[in-house]
Amino acid sequence: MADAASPESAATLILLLPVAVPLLAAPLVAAVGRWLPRLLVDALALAVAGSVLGLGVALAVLSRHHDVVITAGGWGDVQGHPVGIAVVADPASAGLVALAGFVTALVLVYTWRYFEDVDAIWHALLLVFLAALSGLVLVGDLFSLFVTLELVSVVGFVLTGYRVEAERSVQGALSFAVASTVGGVLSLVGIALVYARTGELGLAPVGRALAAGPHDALVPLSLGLVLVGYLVKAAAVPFHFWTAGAEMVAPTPVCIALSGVMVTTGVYAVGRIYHVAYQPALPAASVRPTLLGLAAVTALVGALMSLAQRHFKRMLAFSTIAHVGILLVGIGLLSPAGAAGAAIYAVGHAGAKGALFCVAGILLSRFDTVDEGQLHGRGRPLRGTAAVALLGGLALAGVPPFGTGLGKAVTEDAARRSGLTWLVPVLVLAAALTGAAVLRFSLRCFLGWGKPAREPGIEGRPDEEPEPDPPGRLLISAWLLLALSLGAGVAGTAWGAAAGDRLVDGAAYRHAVLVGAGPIRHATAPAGWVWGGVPLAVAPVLVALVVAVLWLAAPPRVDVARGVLALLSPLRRWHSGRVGDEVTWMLAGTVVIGLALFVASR
Amino acid sequence: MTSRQRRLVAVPVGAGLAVVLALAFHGLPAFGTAHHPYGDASVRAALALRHTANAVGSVTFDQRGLDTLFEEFILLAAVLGVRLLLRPAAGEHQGTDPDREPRSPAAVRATVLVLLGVTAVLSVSVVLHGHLSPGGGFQGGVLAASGLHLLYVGGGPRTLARFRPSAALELLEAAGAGGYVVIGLVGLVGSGSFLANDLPLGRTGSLLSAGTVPLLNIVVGFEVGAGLVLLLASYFAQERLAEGPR
Amino acid sequence: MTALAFGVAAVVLLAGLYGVVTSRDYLHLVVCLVVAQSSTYVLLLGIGYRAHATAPVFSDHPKGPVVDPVVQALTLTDVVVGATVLALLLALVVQAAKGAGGYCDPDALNDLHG
Repeated sequence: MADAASPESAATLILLLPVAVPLLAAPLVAAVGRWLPRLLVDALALAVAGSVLGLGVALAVLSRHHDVVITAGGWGDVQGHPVGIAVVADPASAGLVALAGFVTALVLVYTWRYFEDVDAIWHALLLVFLAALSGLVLVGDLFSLFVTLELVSVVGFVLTGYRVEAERSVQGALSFAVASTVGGVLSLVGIALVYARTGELGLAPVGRALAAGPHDALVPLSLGLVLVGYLVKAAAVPFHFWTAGAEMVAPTPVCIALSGVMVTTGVYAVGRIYHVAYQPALPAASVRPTLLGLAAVTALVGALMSLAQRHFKRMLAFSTIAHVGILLVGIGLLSPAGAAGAAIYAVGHAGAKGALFCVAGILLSRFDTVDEGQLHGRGRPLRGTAAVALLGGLALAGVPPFGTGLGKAVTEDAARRSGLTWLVPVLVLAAALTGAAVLRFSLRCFLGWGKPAREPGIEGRPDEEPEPDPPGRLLISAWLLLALSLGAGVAGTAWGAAAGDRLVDGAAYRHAVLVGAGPIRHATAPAGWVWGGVPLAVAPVLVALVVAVLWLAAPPRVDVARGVLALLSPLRRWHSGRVGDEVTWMLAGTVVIGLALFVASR
Repeated sequence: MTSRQRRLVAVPVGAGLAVVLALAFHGLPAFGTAHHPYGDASVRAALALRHTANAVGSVTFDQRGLDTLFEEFILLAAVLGVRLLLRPAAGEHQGTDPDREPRSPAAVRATVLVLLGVTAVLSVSVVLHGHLSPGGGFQGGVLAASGLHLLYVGGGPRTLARFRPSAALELLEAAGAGGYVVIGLVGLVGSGSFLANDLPLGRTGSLLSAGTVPLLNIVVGFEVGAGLVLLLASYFAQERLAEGPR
Repeated sequence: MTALAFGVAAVVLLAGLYGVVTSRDYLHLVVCLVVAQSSTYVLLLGIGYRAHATAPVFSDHPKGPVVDPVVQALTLTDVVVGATVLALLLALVVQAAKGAGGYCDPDALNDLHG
């Protein structure tokens, strides 16, 4: 490793720094933060997040031709058996590290001198969160993936339940915690099964061993169990019930991190685990139907439910679920083009969703509510915020300059090329309905269209979450996030193609870890990617606008709103908010996924 | 769903899960099998390559030290989280004046004092011998933190009310967590590999052996001990809040 | 013997999850989660067992067959993770119970519905 050409050795030296640097800063900040001037603590945390962003970009560039592989502690094989933990950077994982750094930095800017009463614990926890996310995407070992998953969860539910005085905050955090824990237990059972079968924990050695060994029920069932923990994080249906509750009650900056980065790393882990560890034993054709079925259901449930919400943050949470469905379609196609679409979409979505949560934060700080009915027309003076909200809604619908548009176009193209054209209307509908929900809210709130809402739904309480600061900084964060989304669409093709190509190529990953550097990789985007088909790019936007306008401006005898809500009421009753129900559906989902994978593999 | 409906749904779901587990577990190797390739390799790595008598400690802190780093920070995050979640709200106040609580009997207090001494010595011993015999940073830290429980059992609310977690504990906890990262970075600077075990390895079985493993045990012991004391103190503080004025 | 060892793990897991699903008290629910997690300890340690072998600690005995130390390290990590998650869940339950007068029924905490 060390005597390769200089950029390679530089890459191996910095590979674990995105984990080590925040983990060094976090206890420092937690312990001495109270004695340092607040500005210094803020600046230090911001510098750390910025350095992770820089490291992520550097690793993405350094790994563009070869995966960068190290073993933590410098361990090699002993008696022909790997004993250490492999850590691997490629454009996909390095890109996610950079995304995590960028979003965390923005969250820190947002909360500049916020949360005065808890010293620097807030900053310390955010830095640990950043380290955990970086660790999750970089490690190449099943058990390390489990431990980083648990670390992400723990920090996640602490930050979600931050406002302990609010009853609903505690409920949301509890729901998140119980779901994560059940998911973690099931994943660990799967990991134990894999270890018993193969005697390995590293992703690459497991892949090699599963290819050789008996192909019986244990292989697909253990995959199903292992994936559950990550599907919970990714908020896929039916593991998604915690998301709507948690993102409703969590402080807005936390929502940006959860929706933007955390769910993306869950989706990434699903793809990575399958391609490196399981693909030799379970061919793509047997796994694809299950993943795509899951993806389609997730996209549609999220989109329909988002339309039925009057609480803006809950609406955004359901739209995140829908967009995770779109991401899972890209990953579930198990093709380089699909994964590339998902990668670009992930960055575009993180930017757009983060910007919309900033809008929610601005509304909370001005009006103490995010309820669609109570906000009717009150947003008229907030021109800049209105612009962000409308652009964000259009971005969710997949308008072309944004990363969501490009990612969706690439994914649709990949679906058609795989012969799975039925996915295209699913993607169009999911994007259209979530865009419609946000546009409807924005038109009602900022332009005063429609009547003050009478539909049922969770009402925002006026004393909900006092957010103290004036919205100037929030607006800057919002524009920066929209810029990220736009940047992904305009300049993300090269990175997306490389990320998708390498995420799917489990054989190259296994070769890099087990043998050594392989041949130089080049991934070029096919020429037809530039903006996909124009009709497909424009259709969801038009549908979104039509739905939003119809909802608001329908003549009195044609009550579109009431009709739609009545149709959706079984789906809404399914979301009962009770933790017992959530866990029941999670277990049912585990059984269905496990048995589907099992049956498909025979 | 109502509770009854949920029980009705839970039965087939539970049956399905049982089927999944049965099918999957059917493929497990026999209980007591002699085939443990990773285990054998790690034992050889621990003994021959790293002179660590406690193979589990070697796996935890040397071979898979990265996992333990994350694990340590899960504990740190949990301690910070509990302090955050159980912080006294604006309207809450501390309970009665501790000096008005009854003292516990002298015999109990004397026993507790002796046991505290034993606990302290035992916990230090377990931490320091982590690379030689079963034990280590986590186990020793938990033992040390159990001293707080002893205080509670023996001294009652009066003693506990006097116990204010000092800044020293927070510094100790942070030093433990940060110390692990620092040792890792020293390895990075020294031999180009994060968490590399570069220190002299000594003779297997002696106190000064196994390189960084005893050092990592010590920092983890500080972090776990101090962290758990802080965590338990948050809970005890909550209990005093809950009782309210009498 | 194999069926017994791993069957125990499966039964404990199912029992814990059943408890989580049907619980009427949040404290009971959290303890059932702990029970479910402990099934993974049984599973892991059962996988690592080697017949007629002793503990993988060599300060007493210089050589000989030992059980799998990797699995024991994994279980140690699992225990720590489980304990920390338990601590956080209990903190949340304490706060939830405050609002509800000291007793917390999970089915009653359903504000976040629809």
